[in-house]
Amino acid sequence: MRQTLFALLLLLLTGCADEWADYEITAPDAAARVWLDEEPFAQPERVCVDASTLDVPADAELESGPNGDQLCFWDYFSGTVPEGMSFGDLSSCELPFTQGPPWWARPFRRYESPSSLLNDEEWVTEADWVAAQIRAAGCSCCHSSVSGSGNTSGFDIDAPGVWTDSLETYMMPISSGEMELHRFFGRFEAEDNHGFGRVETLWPSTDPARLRAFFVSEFERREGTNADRAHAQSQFEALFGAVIAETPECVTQFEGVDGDGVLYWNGDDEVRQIWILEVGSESPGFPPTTDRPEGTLWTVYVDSNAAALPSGTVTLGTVPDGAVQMVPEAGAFTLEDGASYKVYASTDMMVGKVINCSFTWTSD
Amino acid sequence: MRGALVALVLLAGCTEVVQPDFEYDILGDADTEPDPLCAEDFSLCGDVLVPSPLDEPVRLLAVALYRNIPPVGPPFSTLLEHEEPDLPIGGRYKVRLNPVIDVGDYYVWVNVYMESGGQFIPANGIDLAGSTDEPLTFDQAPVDFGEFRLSLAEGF
Repeated sequence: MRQTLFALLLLLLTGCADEWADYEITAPDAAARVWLDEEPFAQPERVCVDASTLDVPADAELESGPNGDQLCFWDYFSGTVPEGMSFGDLSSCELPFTQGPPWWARPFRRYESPSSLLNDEEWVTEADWVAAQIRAAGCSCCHSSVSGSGNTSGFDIDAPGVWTDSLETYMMPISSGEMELHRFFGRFEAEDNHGFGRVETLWPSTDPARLRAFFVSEFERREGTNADRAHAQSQFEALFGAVIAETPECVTQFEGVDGDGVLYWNGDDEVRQIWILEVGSESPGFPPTTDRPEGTLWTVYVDSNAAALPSGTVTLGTVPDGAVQMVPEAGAFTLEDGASYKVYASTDMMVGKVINCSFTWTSD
Repeated sequence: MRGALVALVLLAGCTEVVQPDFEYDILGDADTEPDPLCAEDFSLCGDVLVPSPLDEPVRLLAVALYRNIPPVGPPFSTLLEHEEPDLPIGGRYKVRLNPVIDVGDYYVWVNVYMESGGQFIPANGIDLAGSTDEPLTFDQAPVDFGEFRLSLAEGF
């Protein structure tokens, strides 16, 4: 009787049911912090592992390697391993850590579903399937406490009981793919990503319609509102604020391209990516599909082991030491006298935009 | 001691920050003479009211522009990062920046990270944060956000 009263009191005080009482996720340790905070963004990297060392599903797509069959996957936040496997079993998550937000947000119970939901076989089947889909993706590096990555942030697909309780209601339309801006996260083609597509939904999935239906159903179960949708939209607009911002004309006292073709910008930030685009082009998002938007004329990325570039040190068309020209893949880029361009540069991929403006170039 | 004033409720994963009875503006009023820099194009000026007392050193002060608040993701633009700033405890931290060349409507947001505080996002109940109530229009003309208070970070 005393225990029941205590449990009821705890419930009243905290709004949290008992099954979450012992749930505690610790912050990333120093080793993980190095990848999260200090290492620059790692471009998508295709990694192959000897398949004989793995418990690979029978229908998994393998490739021939020097020592027999190998399982290859993109070691990237939207890369996936075959359905039924866990991304964390193949990847240390170090590279995906460089691609995600560096901050850690302690997961906790954000919503209280009735525990009777766990007796609903259909719901449990779908919830487990969705969790397994996310577990197969690089996303799980930061959202699965059993992945072993040491960095579970925001929400947790391995949270106790109803794991979706670790998600805010506004995250449901985000997860279902309702918010169009999610495309700026970039994606691999399903045939290049073990059957996982990411066109319709936020999370890569082998069955996007089923995954979307789950999150739509969760939104309805919680009686989500248009205010939740508006919140979701505002979250995305904040996340991609620099990408969707309009491109004003350069304020030439402080930013632009001089008559020698040297790029300069306001402040002392140093950049790792530079884009020259046609005026009116979209600003770049995440690789591999949105980092070189239509209209991209010239792009250089600084290697992750090279130093970032200060203002006034880059002549457009000349690839700086330690950088790689991504566009054009072959050949050179030359500024044309009297032509107008858009210039965009960032301290790293999708963070720290330092310049986004248009200019008409006049040679000295 | 702030530690004695702050109540951090950490029960079964639910976090609530109770704001202590900070004192503000005990060091004096705003400047009566306007700073000439604040009349120039591309300037951003205003006072950030720092609470008192603070019981640990300040590690970093950051001034940024956000399209939406509370912030999620990187700011639209980081205007200033000042390591170990000499903050006037209970006084006014004067933001006097030029040039600020961003164009659009943005909230001015200030984070103050304490020695034991967070990285990238404020630690609830430890770090300080504050912002303008409304977005301000940046169009290269001078912007004066007036003043706002810092309080203990919450909701992160």
